[in-house]
Amino acid sequence: MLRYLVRRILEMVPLLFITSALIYLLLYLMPGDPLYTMLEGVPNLRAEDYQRLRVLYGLDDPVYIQYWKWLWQMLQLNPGYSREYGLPVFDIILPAFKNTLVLTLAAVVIGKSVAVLLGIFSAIRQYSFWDYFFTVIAFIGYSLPAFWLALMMIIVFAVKLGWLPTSGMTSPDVVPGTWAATADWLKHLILPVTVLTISEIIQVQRYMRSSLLEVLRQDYLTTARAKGLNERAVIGRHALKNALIPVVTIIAITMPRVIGGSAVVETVFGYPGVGRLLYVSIMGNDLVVAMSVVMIIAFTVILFNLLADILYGWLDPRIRYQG
Amino acid sequence: MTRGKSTRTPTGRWLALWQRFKQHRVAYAGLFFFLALLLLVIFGPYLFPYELDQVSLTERMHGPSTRHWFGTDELGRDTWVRIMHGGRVSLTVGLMVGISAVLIGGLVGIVAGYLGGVLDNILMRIVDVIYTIPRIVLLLVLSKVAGPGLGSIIIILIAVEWTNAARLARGAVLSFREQEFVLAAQCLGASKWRVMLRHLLPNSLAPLIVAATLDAGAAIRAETTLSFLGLGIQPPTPSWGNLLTNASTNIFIAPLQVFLPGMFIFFTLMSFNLLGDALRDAMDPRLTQVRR
Repeated sequence: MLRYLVRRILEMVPLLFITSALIYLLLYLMPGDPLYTMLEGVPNLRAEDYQRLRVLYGLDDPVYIQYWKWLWQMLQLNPGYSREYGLPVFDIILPAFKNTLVLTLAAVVIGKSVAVLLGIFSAIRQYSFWDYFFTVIAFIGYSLPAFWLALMMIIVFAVKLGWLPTSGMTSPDVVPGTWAATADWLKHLILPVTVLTISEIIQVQRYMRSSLLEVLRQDYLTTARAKGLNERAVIGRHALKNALIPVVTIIAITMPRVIGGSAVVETVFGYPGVGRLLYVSIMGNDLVVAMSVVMIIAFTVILFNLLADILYGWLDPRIRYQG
Repeated sequence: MTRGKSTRTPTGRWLALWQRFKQHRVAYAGLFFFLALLLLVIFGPYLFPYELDQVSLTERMHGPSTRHWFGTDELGRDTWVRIMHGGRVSLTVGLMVGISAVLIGGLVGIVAGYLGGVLDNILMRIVDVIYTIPRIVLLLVLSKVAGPGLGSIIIILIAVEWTNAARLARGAVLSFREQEFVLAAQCLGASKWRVMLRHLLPNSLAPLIVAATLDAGAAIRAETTLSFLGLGIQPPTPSWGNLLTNASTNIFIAPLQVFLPGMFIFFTLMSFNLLGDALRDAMDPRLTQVRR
């Protein structure tokens, strides 16, 4: 197991390296002068000054030299300064990353638990009205475009009913650190979390359903029933344990979708997370920030895949990893 | 010996497929929605005498009426006509991307799976890298690089979506590679390309057709999202996405204008997903694929 883990972690390195090189190249090709935002509104800028700045920031170097310099700094956890905000990149990204983590984790925990419950219910009552009903609902949720669902939620719950705030993360009039502030923050989370949850239910719901249906056909469940266990124990203690194993992997595999979805939802709701940060930095040519955000997202995704593999082996003793 | 056509002939197989597809009520619903949408966007604009950009300053932000079924926007342009034209753009993107991505990805997957070796390794590492970054994040970066416009959005969507088909085709080919029919073809002296195109491709078609349907839906979802965020199709060319950008600025006054284009996106995605699902069931009930 340890050898397997070490090998998997070593495999992460080239993947991250190639990903970073690819993204760097793409952002390098992005149209627009990176000095533009910095020099906008500087009245007495001379051509010599502009050239001096280009040399100073190494913008005339070939792309591989620029990438190498970036990589070297990144390895020392020093991704540089945002051109837009003039702050160290980590000072901008870390709070945003924390906000995104709260949003996605809330969506994953709520969404996936609901999905697992619906899947179990559908499997136990296969072909019943509720089985079809939940399947249809999950299908509808999957087919709703997230940004539009977000807009509709704003119309219904924020504009018409006025129950929830339209966007952002905090209201200007609450004092930070009080219970009211926490309640206010939760209120801001409800709509984004709901939108993220709704579009992500289907995968896990259907997987849970088919996985449990498969297990329910196994002989050992007949044995469990034959020795007189009631249905609750048969399903809860014997069937679910095995049925949940593949579902864990699916939850991890769909993580990139949740993170990607949160980028859209954050942008629509003006929620200050990394997704919105990425959007703003791409729109504003803030390459340093965009690069770091993409890398952090890629790193998170790879980490989740690794976690899924480890969990899978841990949950299912039939699987043995070869080092 | 059986008389007439054996079930192994291509016609027999496609016929059996069609029969299984027909039994699927959901498949009918998907197909119906899709054809209805196609007819609507083709003929819909001609139901009214308005041009796409015909401004009518006396009829700004009107609600639905007999003159304007879906009302008008802030410049008095007819929303019905604009949604139908936007649908042409969005559906074009979906169909072009779905078909091209599967053609390219299918070929790449078959070649990688059959030839193996270094080529396979390189191609699959590229696929891994593309899978490492969430789709929409990668598309945000790509769309800025490629610039706005119908052509560039189609190209960047293909650049990302081909990976699904490549993985599926490669997986299918790996399972066929050691089977007798491939060996037989090789023994009869078939060239590498003949084995791939005449024997492996037809046998891998089932998962690829499903992938094309689901990819087309994914492409429309991505296009409308990017266009909504201002990175895809740009006005004055209408798309369901940028119609929503425009409408969302008046969300407090005219929520109906936000509701309508979204419903069209929803029904389109729904029909593609239903169709893909039904095709998957009809072709191979065991075939399951997780969408990323």
